[in-house]
Amino acid sequence: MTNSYPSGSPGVPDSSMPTGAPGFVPRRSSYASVVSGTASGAPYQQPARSGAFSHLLNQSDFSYDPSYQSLSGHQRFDPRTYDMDFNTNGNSHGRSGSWGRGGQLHPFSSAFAALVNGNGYGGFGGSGTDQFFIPSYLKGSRYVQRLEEAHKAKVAAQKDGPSAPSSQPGSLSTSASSMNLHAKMSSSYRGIAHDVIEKAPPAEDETLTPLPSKWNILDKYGGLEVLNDGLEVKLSGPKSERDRDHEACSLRADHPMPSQCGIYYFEVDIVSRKREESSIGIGFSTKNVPLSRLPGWEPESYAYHGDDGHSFCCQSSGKHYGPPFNAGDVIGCGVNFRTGCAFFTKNGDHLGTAFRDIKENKGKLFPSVGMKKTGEHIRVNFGQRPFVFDIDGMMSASNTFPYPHSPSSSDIQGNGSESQEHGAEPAGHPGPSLEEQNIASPPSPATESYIRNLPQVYPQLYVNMPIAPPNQLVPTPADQDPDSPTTLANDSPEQSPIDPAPPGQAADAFPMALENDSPERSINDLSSPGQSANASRLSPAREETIGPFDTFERALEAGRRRQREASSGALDTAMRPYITFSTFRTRRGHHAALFTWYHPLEEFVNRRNSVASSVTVTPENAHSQANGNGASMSQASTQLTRRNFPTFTGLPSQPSPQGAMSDLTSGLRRSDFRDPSPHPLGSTSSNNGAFPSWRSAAVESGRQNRHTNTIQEYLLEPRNQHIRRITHRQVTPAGTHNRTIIRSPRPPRTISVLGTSTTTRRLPPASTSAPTIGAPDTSALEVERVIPEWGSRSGADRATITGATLDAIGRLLSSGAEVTQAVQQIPSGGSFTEQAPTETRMLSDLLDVPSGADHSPNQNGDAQPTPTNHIIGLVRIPYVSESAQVAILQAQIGRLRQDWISRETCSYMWTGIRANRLQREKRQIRQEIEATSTAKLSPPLDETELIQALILQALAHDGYVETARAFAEEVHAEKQALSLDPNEFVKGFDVKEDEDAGHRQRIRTAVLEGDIDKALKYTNVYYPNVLKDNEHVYFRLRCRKFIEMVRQAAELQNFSSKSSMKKSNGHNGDWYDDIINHDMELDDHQNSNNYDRMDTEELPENQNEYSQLLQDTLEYGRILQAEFQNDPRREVKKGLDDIFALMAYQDPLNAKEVSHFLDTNGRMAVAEELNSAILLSLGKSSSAALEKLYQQTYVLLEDLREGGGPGSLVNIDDFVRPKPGSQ
Amino acid sequence: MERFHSPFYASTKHQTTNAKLTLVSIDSDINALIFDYLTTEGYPSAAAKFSKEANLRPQQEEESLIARRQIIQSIHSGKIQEAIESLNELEPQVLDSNPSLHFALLRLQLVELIRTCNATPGGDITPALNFATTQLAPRAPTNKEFMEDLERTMALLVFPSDSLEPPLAALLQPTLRRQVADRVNKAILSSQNIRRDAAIRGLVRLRAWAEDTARQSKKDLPSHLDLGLDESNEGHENGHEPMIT
Repeated sequence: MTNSYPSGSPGVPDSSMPTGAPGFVPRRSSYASVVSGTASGAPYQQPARSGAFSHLLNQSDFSYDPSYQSLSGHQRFDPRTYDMDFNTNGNSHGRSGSWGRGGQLHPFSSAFAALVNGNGYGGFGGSGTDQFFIPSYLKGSRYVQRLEEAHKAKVAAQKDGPSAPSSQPGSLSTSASSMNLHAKMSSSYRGIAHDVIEKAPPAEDETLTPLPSKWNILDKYGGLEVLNDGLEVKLSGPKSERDRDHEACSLRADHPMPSQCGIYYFEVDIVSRKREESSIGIGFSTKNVPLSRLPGWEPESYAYHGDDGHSFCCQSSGKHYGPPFNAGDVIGCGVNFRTGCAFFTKNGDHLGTAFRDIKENKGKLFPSVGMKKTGEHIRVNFGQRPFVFDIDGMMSASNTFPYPHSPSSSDIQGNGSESQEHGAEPAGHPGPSLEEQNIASPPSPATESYIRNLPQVYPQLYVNMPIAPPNQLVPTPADQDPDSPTTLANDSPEQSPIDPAPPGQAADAFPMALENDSPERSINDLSSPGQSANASRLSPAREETIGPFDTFERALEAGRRRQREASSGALDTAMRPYITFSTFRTRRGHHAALFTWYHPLEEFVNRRNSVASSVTVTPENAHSQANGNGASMSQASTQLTRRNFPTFTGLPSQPSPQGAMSDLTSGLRRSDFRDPSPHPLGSTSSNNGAFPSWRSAAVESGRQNRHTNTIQEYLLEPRNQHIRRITHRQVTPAGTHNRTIIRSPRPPRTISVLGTSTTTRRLPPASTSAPTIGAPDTSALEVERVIPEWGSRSGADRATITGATLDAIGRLLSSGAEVTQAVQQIPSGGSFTEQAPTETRMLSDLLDVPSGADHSPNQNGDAQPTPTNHIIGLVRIPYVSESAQVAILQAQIGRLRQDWISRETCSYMWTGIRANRLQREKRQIRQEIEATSTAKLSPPLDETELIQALILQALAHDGYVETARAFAEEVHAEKQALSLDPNEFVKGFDVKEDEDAGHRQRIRTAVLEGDIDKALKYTNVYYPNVLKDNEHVYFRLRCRKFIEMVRQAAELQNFSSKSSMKKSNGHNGDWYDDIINHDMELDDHQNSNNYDRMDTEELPENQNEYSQLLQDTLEYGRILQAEFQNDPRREVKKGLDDIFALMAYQDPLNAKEVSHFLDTNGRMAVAEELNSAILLSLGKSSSAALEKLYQQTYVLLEDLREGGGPGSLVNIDDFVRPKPGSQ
Repeated sequence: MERFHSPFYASTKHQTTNAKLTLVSIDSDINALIFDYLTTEGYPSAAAKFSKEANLRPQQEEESLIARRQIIQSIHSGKIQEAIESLNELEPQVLDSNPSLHFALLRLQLVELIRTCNATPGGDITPALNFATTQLAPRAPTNKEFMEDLERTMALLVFPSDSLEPPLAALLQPTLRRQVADRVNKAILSSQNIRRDAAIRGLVRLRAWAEDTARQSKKDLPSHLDLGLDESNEGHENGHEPMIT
């Protein structure tokens, strides 16, 4: 059945295997024949083939990479390579010689080494010992950041070895590059300061073990060959050694899996050439496990075995776990140290949890592989290459991004109070966290800055939501018990954040229940302050979040990549249903979402003539339903019946209530729907652009559902009560009454909505209102052009269509169009409904009435409106509790099994749930943090007071006297205002007239201005001992002086060279240009050198001054060197070397190797250093309380990260950096 | 215990052993944190001074900061009418699109009215009653919480102000003003598409959370981790030995 997927899985080679293939599979029992050179040639096909293909690989997109699979397929079966054998033969041997293993090496792998190296991941494979890489899924984790720092320090230290000559450009450039990297991390990096001081040998932190990077040749059993830079392993050698069944050969990786990173994941490609049953066990073990056994057989080892698909947990009998695996498969192994669970993946599909309660107490766990049969050959991927399984998606956290659709405060409040009414929630367990949740997740700084700067939209792409195909939905048990309190309230406080409850239990407890609320909160709803309450477990179910993206283009790109992957089949995504989902919030608060649906089950759906119908309730159509106008919806819902799940996109946006609503109603009236009376919202909502935040809910009825003719009927059905509630809520003004939805006794069950159509139908221009309306015609046409093709396209083309559609939508959005909603529908051949929807009345006809020029600033107003049925499906943002999801999926998977759908598909769905869990964990921790009371930190201060005190202290401490004073005044005024008794004396913060502060500030200012002499002078006058006691500070100041001199000279020189250039220009050039140039140069100059004395003297003086300065500098340098010449300290030497190197550059200001030394940021570091030294000498704390708080937090988090604790999911940078990237 | 006497907690800037704590970046982060706070929570003059002293680029225009501060100040001092008026001037859509905030403001105004009449013995409660009837009553039915809030507030009129139940008495505390002011501030910020919460709040909470969690998981911590806010405490501070290198 797998084969029925055309773009299929790696299993596909089965079917495509040429009949002659077996002839090329060597049946050689020993390797000797290869070595002896009498090879039949078969084994040498691979190198040739891979070489031939490598350029293809290089050209292809990275995300395609797992095409290694197909590549090996070619190698294996392509007979045409036959004649190339002998050429390759020699090469291979030559290469293998360089590996020091002579003829032992399989040429296959050595050729692969070249392939891998040339594969675009260059640099990784380069140096055997020192390669450094970061597995993609660990990017951004604190652990890896530390590794990276350590690595950089190490590299720097190596380059900085004793033999490193002074002022060697190489050394400089190295540090420069490492610094550049650093500068990326901290926004105002301070050049040399860091370099001189931090250049100490890298701290070997015992907790900081490197990531596994290759197999450990010292930790393997005989008979195993480690090839290809330590990544490949092959079992060779005489078979007799392992004749007995319990014997095997194993090996382990060079480093243990670090528990601090939370989750560790690696993949193993089975590259053996035999298609027969493999004997490979993949897993992990401690150092104590004998290597003569497969991992899993012995205590302290765990593995998944290929021969039977069983999982072995510390004993020689396994449990049924997954499918067997074989040559060509890619098996992944992941360990979640936080939960103590391990899982495996096969060809990118999650196989479920294999082990629980994995403990590290016996020792660190190493990735391990064992095999029994000669010729078994595997290659490991520790993260050097992209993974086949979407581990990134699993790891990618949405915790830094506020869910745009998380429940509004009143929703959750409603939930809380309801739970009390129903008694479903234990008393004493306060309701979910009200606004807490919202406040709780402040948008990531990046997002924020983006929102700030963004002109139109901010996109976020959610990808890969494993969503049931609508026709797969099962009947809801909720029907049986309409009033049962099995509501969200029951569901929302999850018992355990990890929720290891097997799906069965969840389903029992809460059969088929789904939250249906997807309130999209408007920004304004976020404003309520958090109340104290326990963190809610009610969180939106969203599978995998990619993004947020800072630009629409990037979101688009990601979406397209996803599509490409799917359509190319490279990632085997063709096997999986998924939805690409993006939401946008435009600046005016309009919401839009679009998603594309890609589902491999189309085939089945087609065959079964299933039906999928759906309804989306948006404010617009909700109103219409409430008012009996619902015919539109019901019509839509029946229309949407179709056999296919094409790509479709949804884009409801929120128009202004007045404009759009009246448009809506008029549209409805126009369309002869019943009861054209304007709905209440139109009259009750305010004129000022207030409108209910956009909400959508989709209702979906599967085949089993009776199809009703009107929305009214539909709503009257008991099972659809919730829709009425939604509708109800929608009618009330936003924020006032939307708890009803949560109270719905039965959470609505729904996941997705879809609906497309190729029918294009033009309406006459709207006659009722706004003659100048008009969607931006160009965009509309674009869309139109794109859409009609949808239905006829096949899967492969879908990507491009979607891309184009996304483009079009993007354009629509950015041009301010109000494409409210539209439906496209595929001509439904073979539909099961009697009335084939050929005469489709488009929702878009009803709703896509552009709301007028005031909302479409960019469009040209005189265009004739062409309300086209643009797009687009209906949107449902799943807001589904985890247990509900589990339940539904379980039911689905049950059905899917019946539907003889492959296990992979099912497991993929499960993967989504699991990924979701991890994200939720992160989010929960985030929420927990936000809910933490700070009262204990420094009693009796409350949070605000504490922060004010911290800030004030930090300001005073760092000598920002003026600021401190201003702040104290403002805080005092605030307190005064807050006090109820106006006459009461309010004690303000006392910013003492601190003589020291003044002195320190003067010194700081001097340093910041680059006037080091002045700073030295002041320091010696005010704090005579400081420089004596803090020699390194003194040294840095002296160095800085030298740097300043160089800098000054360089500026002078630049200036004069520019002037001379100008002169020459002036002679033969345009006078106008000349002036312009002149002005600009002056500007540049001033901007870059705020603090510097400007020298605008004419050329001769400049020249004089320059040479004088150069003299002085050299002289000073000599003195400096003489003074510190004999200093044994390495950093001193390094510091001197670095700064003297400046002299070697013609134009050090613009030489990228050294320019960072000259950066004015370096002054800041020196100033801080000096300030601290002074403070210390005064007996004051050298760091402000705020700094200390940061450091403490940092260390505490490190502690919490041990053993994969909660700290591993928290990165302090997410909290501290207010606006990365904006500076 | 040991580790907390390590340079980490000794809060020195001169540690060279720990490459991971790049002090350099802490400093800049600290300044950014402070600046972020001053801007977000609306301390215009401090922000302006700090921008100058620490050489940071202003994140917002000073006028908008000042306007925000004035509104907050009005609320803090109980002049709600004034606050509402200037808020409508500054960001007219904020209150319209956020009925619950609007209601909270009006409710606070009612509380203030009640406070004034409570302050003077035998004070006239008519203004408060009138206000409640005209302003609050029409809005209350739209939302159950509004109704509850209104009812509780009105109870202030019924009971003598010196013998109130704690939940009622809390209404008369200045904290209510602060809460409302914070909400207003955030609403303004979000309507201007600016970050709503100062980063330092997150950091402080993270610190508290980290300590709580670490203690819960029985990590080896000193019994008290001092922030060193109080300079006089410094002598007892953990690991605060001056490091002289």
